[in-house]
Amino acid sequence: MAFNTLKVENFLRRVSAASIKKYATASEAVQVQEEPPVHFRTAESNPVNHTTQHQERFYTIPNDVYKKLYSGGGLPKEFMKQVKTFNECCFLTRSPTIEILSYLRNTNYNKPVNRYVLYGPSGCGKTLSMAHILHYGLATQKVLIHIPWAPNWFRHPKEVANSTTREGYVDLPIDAAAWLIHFKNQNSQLLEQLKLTTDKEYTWSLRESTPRGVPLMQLIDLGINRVRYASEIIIALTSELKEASIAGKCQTLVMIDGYNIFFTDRTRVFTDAKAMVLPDKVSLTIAALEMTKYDWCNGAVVVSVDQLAVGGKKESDLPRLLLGKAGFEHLDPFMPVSVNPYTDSEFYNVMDYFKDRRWVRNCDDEGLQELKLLSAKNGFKLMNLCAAL
Amino acid sequence: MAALKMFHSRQFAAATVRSLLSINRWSEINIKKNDYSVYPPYYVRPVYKKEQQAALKGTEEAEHLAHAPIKAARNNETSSVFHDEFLRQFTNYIMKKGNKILARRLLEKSLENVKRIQLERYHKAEPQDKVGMELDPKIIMHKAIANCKPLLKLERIKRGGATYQVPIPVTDKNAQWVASKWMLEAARDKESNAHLPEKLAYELLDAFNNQNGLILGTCYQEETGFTQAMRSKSSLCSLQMELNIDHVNSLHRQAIVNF
Amino acid sequence: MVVTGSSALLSRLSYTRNVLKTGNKGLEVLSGSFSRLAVTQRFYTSNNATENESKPGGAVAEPEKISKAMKAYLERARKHDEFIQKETLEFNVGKRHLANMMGLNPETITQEDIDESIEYLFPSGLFDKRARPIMRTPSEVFPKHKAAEFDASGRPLHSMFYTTKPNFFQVLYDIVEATNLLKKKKLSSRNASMELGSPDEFNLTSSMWISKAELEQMLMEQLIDRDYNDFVAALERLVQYPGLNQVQDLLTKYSKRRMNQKLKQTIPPLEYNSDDRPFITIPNCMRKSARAEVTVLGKGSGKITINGQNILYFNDVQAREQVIFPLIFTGLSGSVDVVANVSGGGQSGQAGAIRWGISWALRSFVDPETVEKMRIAGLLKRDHRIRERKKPGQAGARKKFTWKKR
Repeated sequence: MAFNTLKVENFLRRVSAASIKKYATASEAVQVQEEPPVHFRTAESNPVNHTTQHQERFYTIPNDVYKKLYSGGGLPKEFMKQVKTFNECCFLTRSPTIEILSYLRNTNYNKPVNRYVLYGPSGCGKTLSMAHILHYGLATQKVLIHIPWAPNWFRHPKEVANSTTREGYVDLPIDAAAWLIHFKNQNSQLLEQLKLTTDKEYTWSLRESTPRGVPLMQLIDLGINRVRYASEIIIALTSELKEASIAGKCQTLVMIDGYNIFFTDRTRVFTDAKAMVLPDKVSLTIAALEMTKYDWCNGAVVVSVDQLAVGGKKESDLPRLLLGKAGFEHLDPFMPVSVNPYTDSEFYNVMDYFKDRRWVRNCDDEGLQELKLLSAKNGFKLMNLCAAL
Repeated sequence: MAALKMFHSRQFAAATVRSLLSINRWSEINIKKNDYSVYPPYYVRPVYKKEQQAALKGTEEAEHLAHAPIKAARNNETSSVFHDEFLRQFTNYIMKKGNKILARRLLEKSLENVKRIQLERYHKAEPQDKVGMELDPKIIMHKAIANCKPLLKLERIKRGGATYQVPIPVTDKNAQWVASKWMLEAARDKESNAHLPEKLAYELLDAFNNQNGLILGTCYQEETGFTQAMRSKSSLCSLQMELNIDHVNSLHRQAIVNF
Repeated sequence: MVVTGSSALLSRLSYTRNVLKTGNKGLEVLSGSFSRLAVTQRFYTSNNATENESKPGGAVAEPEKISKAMKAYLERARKHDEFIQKETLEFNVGKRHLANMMGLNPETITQEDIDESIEYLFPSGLFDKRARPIMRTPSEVFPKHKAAEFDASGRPLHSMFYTTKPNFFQVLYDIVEATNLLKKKKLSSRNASMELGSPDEFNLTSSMWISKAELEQMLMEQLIDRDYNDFVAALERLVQYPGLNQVQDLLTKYSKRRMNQKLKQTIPPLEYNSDDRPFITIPNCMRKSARAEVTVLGKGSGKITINGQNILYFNDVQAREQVIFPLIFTGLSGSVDVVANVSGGGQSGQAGAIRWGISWALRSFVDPETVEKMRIAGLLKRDHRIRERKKPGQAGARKKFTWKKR
């Protein structure tokens, strides 16, 4: 079977650019949905089935999934623009994703959670790999705790308020409420199915509290309506989900992009006295760090570390340097997965996809070779280079 | 070099071009005032594109180049298949205070916006409409500028103590510059909050579709009887569309006779 | 020294004889070949007058009536001769001393030996080579002077003596005569038949006119720029006409051959490293203030390493384009690897330095035709342009302060 597809693939790769173009226009007329006859696409749009067989090919995200998962963040701004222009959302199935998906499939969920750390040069697809894995989480009915880009909290906080319940801590109410909306978007259906309820009684203030046995959805709605309590509610929510996972009521997938921001020594969160607040004094950090510990089971943690998260250039993009000592020890032991620039065949598939979407036209072999050298096969740079063609 | 042969053949054209470019003959000291170039005057500009070199093969110019020392190619010149001479020039038009990186980014962003607008239209269009749709932003840019090129310009001419503004034909290069300048002026118009790339993209597309504000109101100097007449004919460029160049030339002659 | 002197003397005599005897046969001479041109190098000599005097039956046969100008000239010439003789003697003695000092044979010591010894004995760090110590024959060191331009009675020999640049104007006249000749032939041949030119025509593309300095040296007259421009213009007008082989002598005299640029280069052979990969390392690649060392390795896959990073070392697209320019131009982008170490300058300068290094190294990897193409594409020329300094009293390199009356 695998051999057969390989042969077809090779054949398709051999057909000249001109005929591909013809092919592409022909297929567009009948709106490519079922079994596209092009080598750079795969019809398998369920990430549960994605294996090395689908590697280096594009799969299409259904429109409803796209809206549900990524409307609150999770995809780079430039990529969202592309989706709008191309009239479809496609991910390239790449080896780091396949690797993590195979781990997630084969993990013994009764054991403490595994932590996976995506690392690599910026622009190579860490965030998109996360987005792909997020889709897997949705498909396998996991509760998704997804922080699209953690540095936003610490570098562009919307509002900063002193915590009422925790001494010396700082809340980011609006950011927290926004995240709760994002969480609700992603998980509302699943939570209704699972019928999870609170395990403890929570007191938010003198007058307001949440008793035991209340559905989690209600807790979330409270956080969205009462922005002041949003940060505390997130902490409560995460601990509830953790308990529920340990009890085997649900499975939880924690995904945090730009995780190394939690261990940085510079933020733009300032108190009223204009004193800088380090991440460990921000209440949202408690939830994030709590979820990335290995003291629970029935779940998985996928985080990415990024040079861009901490701003400025670091000498290396390796996890040890980006996380620092504290972060490294917090995550240890973890499984590092590197996200590299495209391979040659990935590069050609991406270019064929661009040609198919008419993003580039008339790009001969010479042009391809040039783009390959100029972009160093870095996805983001390649997209920018092709933008003006 | 036979003189008659030259006059009666294609060589003549080449020789005239060369004499215009003042590289006609090789003299070691060609004294020019205010020439601060580090290159001695007998150095010639490189031919950095492969297809241009291929086109030169076998010509007199090629033999000339074989014996000539060549200047180094500049750092915005390359033999890349994506390199476009006019875009290179236009980058310099956009550039302010030598910030070429920014200028190039703005131009590329504009082209990207043009392409996005066209692509979104393309994907929404009916299959039969898709066929003739132009998606290449570079071609759109070239055509847009070509559509904005003026045919005439007003020159001040002094006769009997009075200055008259006489419309005279413009060279292609001058027309290109004027068209580019108008395009940029329109894009830099302060009334809108939009950034240059968005504004330029819209201007380019409008010009490409021949419905530009630029095209419909082109008179950039003081009013004269002639320009008023032209405005009554709506504009310079509608003039260009209505008349062919012979008509314009005869008009021009007439104008000069009148003055 | 002696030899050159006597040959000059001979030519000078022949010239005198021509002027004196051929009289008004100028046109005849011109319409023939142009081998005899009135411009000859003549130096100071005290023998001239005496030769003239002793010549029997010449037009100037009255030795008693020597003009004052001639007398003064003879005096000057004698002094110059003496001076040169003395200097030559000193030079010869000095040469022998030098030979003894350096342990060379005084009889067979050559000028090269002398130059070498001087460089050894007086090492000089002066930048301009002409400012360094030299030891040459006096004839090379001291300026030459024109011989007498008038006869013993003080009458000028040349009809254009009073232009103060007789030789130069003679040249212009010759060129114009030649032009008229060709013009006449062209007109007559147009009437007769359209037979034009011949295959062995004078090759214009491979030659260039002699420079002003060379012309001045040839004529021994000081020229101004306008003179030289006139000279070039006259020649330009001449070469507009067909049948240039008829005035070949004149053209060869005032032009020099341009070397085919292709033949000028020497390309180093490939070296091989321990993995048996061919490579070339180019040190000191420069552009603006950037300095780079570039190694190009054969049998590669198009990998570019700049200071340990890939090509994204450069943020600027234009800089990256410049780095790959020679690679895509030669079509070797997929088959060689590049390793560059670069420091100093900015992105554009660093990219330019690497571009030059890669181009320079690629010469060894491609065939001579491609090298020539690269040269024409401007890849093989070092870009010497640098930032122009700001000048005092003005705002920038060229920009002036706003002018205010007060």
